[in-house]
Amino acid sequence: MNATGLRLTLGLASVVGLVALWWLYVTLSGVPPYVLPRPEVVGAEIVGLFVSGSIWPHLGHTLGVLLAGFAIGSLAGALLGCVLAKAPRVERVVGPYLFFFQTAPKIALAPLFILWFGLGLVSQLVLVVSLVFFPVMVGALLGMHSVPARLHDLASILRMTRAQRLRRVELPSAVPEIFAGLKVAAVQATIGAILSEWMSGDSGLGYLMVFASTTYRTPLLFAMVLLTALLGIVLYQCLALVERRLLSWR
Amino acid sequence: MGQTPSRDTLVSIENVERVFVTNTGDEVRALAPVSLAIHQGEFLSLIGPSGCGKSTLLRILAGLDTPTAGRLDWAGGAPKSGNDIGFVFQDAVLLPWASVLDNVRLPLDVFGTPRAEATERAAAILRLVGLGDFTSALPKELSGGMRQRASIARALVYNPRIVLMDEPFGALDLLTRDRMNDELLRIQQELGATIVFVTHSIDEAAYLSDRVAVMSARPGRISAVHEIDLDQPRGEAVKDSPRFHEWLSQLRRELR
Repeated sequence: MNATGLRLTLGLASVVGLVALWWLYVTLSGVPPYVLPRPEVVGAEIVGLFVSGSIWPHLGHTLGVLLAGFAIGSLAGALLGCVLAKAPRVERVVGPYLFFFQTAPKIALAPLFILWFGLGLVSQLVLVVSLVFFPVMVGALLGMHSVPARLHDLASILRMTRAQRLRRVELPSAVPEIFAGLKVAAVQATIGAILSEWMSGDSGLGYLMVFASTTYRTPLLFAMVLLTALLGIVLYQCLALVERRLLSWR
Repeated sequence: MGQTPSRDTLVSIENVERVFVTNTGDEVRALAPVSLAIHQGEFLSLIGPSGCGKSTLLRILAGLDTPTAGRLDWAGGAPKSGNDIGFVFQDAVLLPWASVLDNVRLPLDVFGTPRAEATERAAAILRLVGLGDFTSALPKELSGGMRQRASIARALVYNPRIVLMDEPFGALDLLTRDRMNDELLRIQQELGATIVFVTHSIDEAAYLSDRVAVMSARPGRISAVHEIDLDQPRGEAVKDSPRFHEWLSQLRRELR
């Protein structure tokens, strides 16, 4: 058996083991199902959601907010990071504020966003964007600053234009740090998308969670927890895959 | 070069000074007024103790640093475009994400050479430096000596008016260094390049150079310039000759 085969088998075994433990605990302890439903009930709930098709609009909504927010936030973050790196004076002026907003818990700003942008899609997007923006910006900024001095010398000797320097030296150098930021942002974006649906809106996995919780439909709640976790993992792994291909030179 | 050295001056350094101001406001004189003429097609070495300003002088020649006073007088006008000067750093300074071929092609790409021609010229110069079989390798897959060959190829691929080398073999082991020295001479003969070579190895300077400029520190200045009258082309026999060892002792005395 090769290494990937072994890893897959081990991974599968650990999932099976965990479900078995869960099943055993529920069976032996006799916890009421509204506290902890049996695994097969949760499984049936998930299958049911997909078979009936009722999950699609919610999944679509969450995925839409998540991906749109991720795209807007990371593009804007990478862009501003690059601009700041090229304009050190601006960086010195704006830097402290950005640092303040970066460390401020954006989740705490969510009620404010709702106040400003209403109970709809816009405030959901704004929350996700604000969560994605900062890690990517900091990554781009760090990455652009990480170009070795000798590479800058080389660029000067070849008399590269600003655009050539950016495209041939600075951006490729910054890719590893940008990806580090993107991966942090992916996790944050998932949290943000779910959280924004808790507070506003009438669809999405987060909305379903609140609905399940207030109506004591614990199996549905568990199904949502599993699906959102899966969503975060898939997004993260997609990024890791692209990163491995782009950074194979490391 | 060598037996019939061309005396045409490529660039003359005239009373060039460089004063650095430290963070505490003190002035440090890295280069006292220095004057030196660099001849077309020659191999000139700058040797001296650390802090004698040899790297500063090289950076000024490259346009990476500007003199506080004095000037450079280039035959045919000051370098205006990127393909006038080739520079080889102590460490190879390759783009880690690009293949050896793409690294060597980089200058041509920057200058807008057509793709096919750029690839052809880069491949040809890589064969010349002995990396013909490694064009698609990444820098991390090469040894230190091979990386340095690639960076030399990158500096030569556009036929610059002058190639400046800042202790290019300083980080290599002695055996590799000896081999690189011979290859550098072979390549220079083939291309007729003008080379200014900074080193703190007396052996290397005497073996490679048509002329050696000896520098001394605090403030950095040129204390002597010697024509090295050893047989051309250089080879193992030269290293065993009495004249070579006379040069070594003389240069060592002057550096003390």
